[in-house]
Amino acid sequence: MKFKKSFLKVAGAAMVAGLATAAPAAAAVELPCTTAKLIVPWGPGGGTSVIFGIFEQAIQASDAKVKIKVVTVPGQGGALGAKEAAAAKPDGCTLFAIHQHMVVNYINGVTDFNWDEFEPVALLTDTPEIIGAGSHVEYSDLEGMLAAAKASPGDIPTGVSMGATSHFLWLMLGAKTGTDFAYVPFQGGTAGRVTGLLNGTIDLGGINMAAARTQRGDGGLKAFAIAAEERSDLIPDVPTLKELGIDMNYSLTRGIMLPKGTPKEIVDFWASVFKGPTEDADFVAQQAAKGTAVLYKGPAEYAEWWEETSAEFLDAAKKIKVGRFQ
Amino acid sequence: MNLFSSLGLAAPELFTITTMALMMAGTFAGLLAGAIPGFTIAMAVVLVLPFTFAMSPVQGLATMIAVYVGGLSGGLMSGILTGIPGTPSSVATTFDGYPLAKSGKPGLALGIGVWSSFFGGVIASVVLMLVAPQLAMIGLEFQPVDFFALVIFALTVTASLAGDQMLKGLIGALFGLLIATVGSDVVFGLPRFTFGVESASKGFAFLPVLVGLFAFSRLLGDVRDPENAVKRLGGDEAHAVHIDYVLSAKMVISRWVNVVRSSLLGVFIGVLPAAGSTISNILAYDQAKKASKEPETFGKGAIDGIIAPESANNATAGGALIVMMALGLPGDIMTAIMLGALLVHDVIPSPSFISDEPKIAYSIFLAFFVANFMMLFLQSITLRGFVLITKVKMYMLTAVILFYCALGIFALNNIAYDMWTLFVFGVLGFVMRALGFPVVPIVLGVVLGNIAEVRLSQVFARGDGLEAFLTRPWALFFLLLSVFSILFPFYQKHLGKPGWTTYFVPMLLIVMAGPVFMMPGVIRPVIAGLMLAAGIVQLITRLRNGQSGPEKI
Repeated sequence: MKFKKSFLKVAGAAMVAGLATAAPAAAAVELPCTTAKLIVPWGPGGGTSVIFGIFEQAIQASDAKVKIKVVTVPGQGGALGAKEAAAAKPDGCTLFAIHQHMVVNYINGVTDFNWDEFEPVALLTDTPEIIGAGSHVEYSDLEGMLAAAKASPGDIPTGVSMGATSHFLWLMLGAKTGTDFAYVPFQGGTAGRVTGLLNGTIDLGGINMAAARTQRGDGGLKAFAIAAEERSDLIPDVPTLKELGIDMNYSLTRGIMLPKGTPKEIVDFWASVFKGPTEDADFVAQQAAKGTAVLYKGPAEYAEWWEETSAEFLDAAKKIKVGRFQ
Repeated sequence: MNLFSSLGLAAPELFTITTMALMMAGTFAGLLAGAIPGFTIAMAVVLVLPFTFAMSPVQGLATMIAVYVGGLSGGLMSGILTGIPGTPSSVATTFDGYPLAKSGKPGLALGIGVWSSFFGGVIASVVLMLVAPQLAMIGLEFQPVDFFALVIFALTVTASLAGDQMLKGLIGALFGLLIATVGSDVVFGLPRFTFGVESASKGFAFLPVLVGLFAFSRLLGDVRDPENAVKRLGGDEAHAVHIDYVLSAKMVISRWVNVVRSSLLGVFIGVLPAAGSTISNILAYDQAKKASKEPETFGKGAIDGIIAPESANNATAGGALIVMMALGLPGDIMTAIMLGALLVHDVIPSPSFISDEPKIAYSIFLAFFVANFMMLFLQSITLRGFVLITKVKMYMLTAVILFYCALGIFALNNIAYDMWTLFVFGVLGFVMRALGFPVVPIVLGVVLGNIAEVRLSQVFARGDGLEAFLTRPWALFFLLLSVFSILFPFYQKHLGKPGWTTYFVPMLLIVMAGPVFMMPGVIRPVIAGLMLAAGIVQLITRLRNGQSGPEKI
């Protein structure tokens, strides 16, 4: 393990040094398959599968030697797909679509491994979370929401996937603001929560850009804040958490990983394949329409990002004493 | 914007040669997939999805709808000819379709099945266009506690369908729920009943369990007796099969009450999220049996027993489409995949979707309508081919079907563990059949177990007490119906004798009026009032006569 980690760093350093030469080197890679499986650990129709579905199309249309096929393995808040991907052969024919769920799964003990069970390939997209509510709630802004939460701690029904990122959003918000909510387990990602918000099963829940855009206009949902550095052009009237005095960003940052022990050339090959679409204006516009920003980071930078993000999450978890830190 | 101008907007988009050709291909693919046991509609739709990425939204969605409709009807072929439902949506079709085919009328059974599918689909598409917005609002009324009550109702209904064997049916349903608990718990994802086996942590995949319990166990039973094994399925005269479309159409149309009732029931079940055609075909069968003047013919080849499930399952697709388009809430696996397709094409469903995007919404309605005609046309060609199956000797057919079942199961997730699941549940199903346990409640228990668990945990997480089951109208509605469905087999047994059965129907009306009265709006309380009045009138006349009149529900 120790050796592999240091190998990864050396590989990463070499990668940064030779980024310009990486692409031609990658072209020489021989994989034992013509189509690689991209495991998406969430159901079809969810954010991750939609985002990587667009990647699949773009790569299909590109001249990459090996194409990808999205395979959804939903369950256990992303942990089921993670276990399958971690156990796959490190031959470059099984890729894994990932976001912060890996750290959260680890914190909650659903998996006993963290992101470092994989080789980081590329960070690709960033989708900020939006604090949403059903139209039936009395308050109409974040201040009102927090006041209501303080008035009856642990009582406001809030839709989450237990032990997943949508749960952690509220735990973090709660830790920063001294509030607590009643967590109602939901399945089916954002789509499931939106229905719950619409019919009053839950009062609060994290929603995505698509739901925020359509349902707000119809008066079915309220959006209190976006957990990003800046406001979004798509919903410019929704303030950021920072503007409201809460120092917190929370977005789902999606990327690609390979099973541990995958040779460096293969990692570089896939990094270059996924880099292609991110430089295409049409592709970026397509993702932007879904509320997702395209943001490419190569293997070394992505590994650094994981180091930082994981540390940040683990610190927060220790502070609020959840999961394995209880 | 009214219905006709919206349709006028959508029609030119849909009726192009390319789109029509794609829909034809889709319908055929669906029929083929539905006809082969083990290949499910969901698999067919999943396989087609990638092909639609390059198409325009209307084309892609129309093609997927064609596959969906084709698959729903394709299931009836294998269901009627072999007694193995091609898809879970055709489970109840086998109850009477198979006996009728075995008794030497496979052509008639198939003809009736095809026409019922057609009428069910057409009725549903008309309903879809007329009342989509209103129906969607009912689906949205369902809260977790209502869902849980609905699951209880679905399980008691399947158990009571077993008639004399109701106790075994209930045991089966509970056993199914137990099977569903294996794997990881649905809330926290922690392993449960896995006994340390890593592959078991995913739980038993639903399809291998279904195919094992239904198909594998039946195939085992069919070839148990060496004499049976070399028999031809349709008898030696199988080649004489002739599908009389005119006669079967007449028979279906003359039973229009059943067709309309089953179709409307199908649409209603489709609107309920997570219910789907797996349940609607069984409920419609149950209703047809209860409404029939000769319920004893059910299970022995009753025409009404084929009409009900086949019109209901096609109609359910219409209901599921309403909810999917209006709320982005999939009613079943198929609509879940369709929802994915909508998102890929940058179409985001919401309650205002139908009014915001009339072109796409009404293209979907129209495509559903048109796909039913294509299905009818293609069935009339391909059915001849499928009738040939009855000429094959049992042991060959068994081997081939088993092969396809196993292949289909393996292709779904590419894991060998699923094949073992198939095998184990095949043997288990064989033993349970031999002991007289009906397998349908077991399967339904497996399917609904997770839904029930999630919903119940939501009830408690929200802090609703148990009293919510009595104060929420839909929850109360389904729980009361469950009680009556448990009493139903006893009612059937004692029918005609003096005693409590005399008051069963009026009491049902009076009691059910309660929850309906509690529902919001004006229309439903009025309906409740009518139910109450009808119940009281019946009760009084029966108390006076002191004997049972002609029984109907």
